[in-house]
Amino acid sequence: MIDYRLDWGLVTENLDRLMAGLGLLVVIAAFAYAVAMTLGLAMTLLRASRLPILRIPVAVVVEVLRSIPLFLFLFLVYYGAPQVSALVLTPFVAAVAALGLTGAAYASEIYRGALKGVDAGQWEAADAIGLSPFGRMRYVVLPQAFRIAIPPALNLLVALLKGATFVSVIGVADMFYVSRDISLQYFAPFELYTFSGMTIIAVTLSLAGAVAMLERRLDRTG
Amino acid sequence: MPDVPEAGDVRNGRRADQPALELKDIRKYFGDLCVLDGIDLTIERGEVVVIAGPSGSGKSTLLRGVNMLTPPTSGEVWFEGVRVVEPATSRWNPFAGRRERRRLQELRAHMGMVFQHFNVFPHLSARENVMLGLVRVSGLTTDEARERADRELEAVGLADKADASPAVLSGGQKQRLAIARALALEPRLMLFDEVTSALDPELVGEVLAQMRELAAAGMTMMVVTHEMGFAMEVADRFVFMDEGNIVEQGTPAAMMNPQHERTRSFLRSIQGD
Repeated sequence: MIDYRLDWGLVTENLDRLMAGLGLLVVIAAFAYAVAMTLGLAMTLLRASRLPILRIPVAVVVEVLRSIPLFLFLFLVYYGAPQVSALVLTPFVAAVAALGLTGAAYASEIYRGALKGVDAGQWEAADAIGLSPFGRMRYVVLPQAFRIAIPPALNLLVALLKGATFVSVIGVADMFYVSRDISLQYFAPFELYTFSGMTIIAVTLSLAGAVAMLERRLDRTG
Repeated sequence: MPDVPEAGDVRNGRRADQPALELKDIRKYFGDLCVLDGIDLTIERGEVVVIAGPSGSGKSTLLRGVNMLTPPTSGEVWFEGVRVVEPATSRWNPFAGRRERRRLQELRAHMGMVFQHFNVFPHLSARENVMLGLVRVSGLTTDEARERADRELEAVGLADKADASPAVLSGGQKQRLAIARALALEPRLMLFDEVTSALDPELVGEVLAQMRELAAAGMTMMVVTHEMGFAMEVADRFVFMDEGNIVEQGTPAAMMNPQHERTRSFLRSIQGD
């Protein structure tokens, strides 16, 4: 073992850059989450359609999105989009898009499960009072499905935050990008990566803990 | 229930001289299994018809066929002279059956249904449960609907529970709420699908009392039930089904001395307990 002295001064000196990087991770995850939850709902409603022309393509897209490794998908969106279109994405937008699309596929599965979780009797009661299929969905089924979806949907937020740690591969200046930048400059990777790693674990852990607590509370109130 | 035709009745071809409900040669298959084997049944306005029979005899399926929750495989359903049809669906045309679906929705509102498992909306308060159909189906304003809902809740003895969530209501209260929800839409026919079967014995009475009151007010009712005491007392006609057929029917008094062995053994079996 070579003589390597830990110098935590590197971390404290660059704390502002590191924290800005962490903030960027959180912002990307939050934007991606908004995209995922909205797009996922649209996907689910299309997949619930009785028209195969709507249902099947969306189902295929969902399956594909779920199977592509996020790491690869980031490259695909960032470098691929300008190849096949006039779209040149900033790393930030590419990161939100890739994470949001992957998340949408998962969100779609969450919503689908939640729709199935709404008792068949509720659909029938809505029909029996003369509601249209739209009214049944909007006023009876969806409000109950949302409630069922809350715990898994919050877990998706945790998953997206973890997924967001990949975005440095396309040059988003997140916490890990900053860590690499500084450690290359000073040849001191241990301190920076240890700090960044511990920080993100602390954030995701506490978020997961909060979700678990909320879940228990929801269980209690029925 | 007034027999004066409304403007919409003429448009819909509904006629005062038509029976409340006419079922013609209703058949239902689940795959190869024949659940309804050609049922003919006519219910006059104001008539209370109780349908009984062993489980699996098809009585619930018949009831659910009336408002197309379980559309029959073949046969015709006529409600006050208007044909009730299952909307056509198409794999390619999103607009297929649109007109029929609208018509069915309108008819369903006039055929109130009460379920075995209540099916009240758990995410809405008692009042909102009643208001939903009034606002979204009947097109009342929120204020009108609230006023109307409160009257309906009072009629079933739930005035003090208007703001309560169904989660805190007893089974009997939930079922009375379900009845209020259906009655708010001014149905001209009420369908009851084993509405006391999921209730604790001590809660059955309050729901039956509500139904008795409704029958006395002249409502046309089609009731699937195992409550023979109630049936004998309230029914104008008693229909006994077995294996997808109507075995026999008649007044409750006549059914005290059934002609068919199957009816006799069924009545014996439920009186035994």
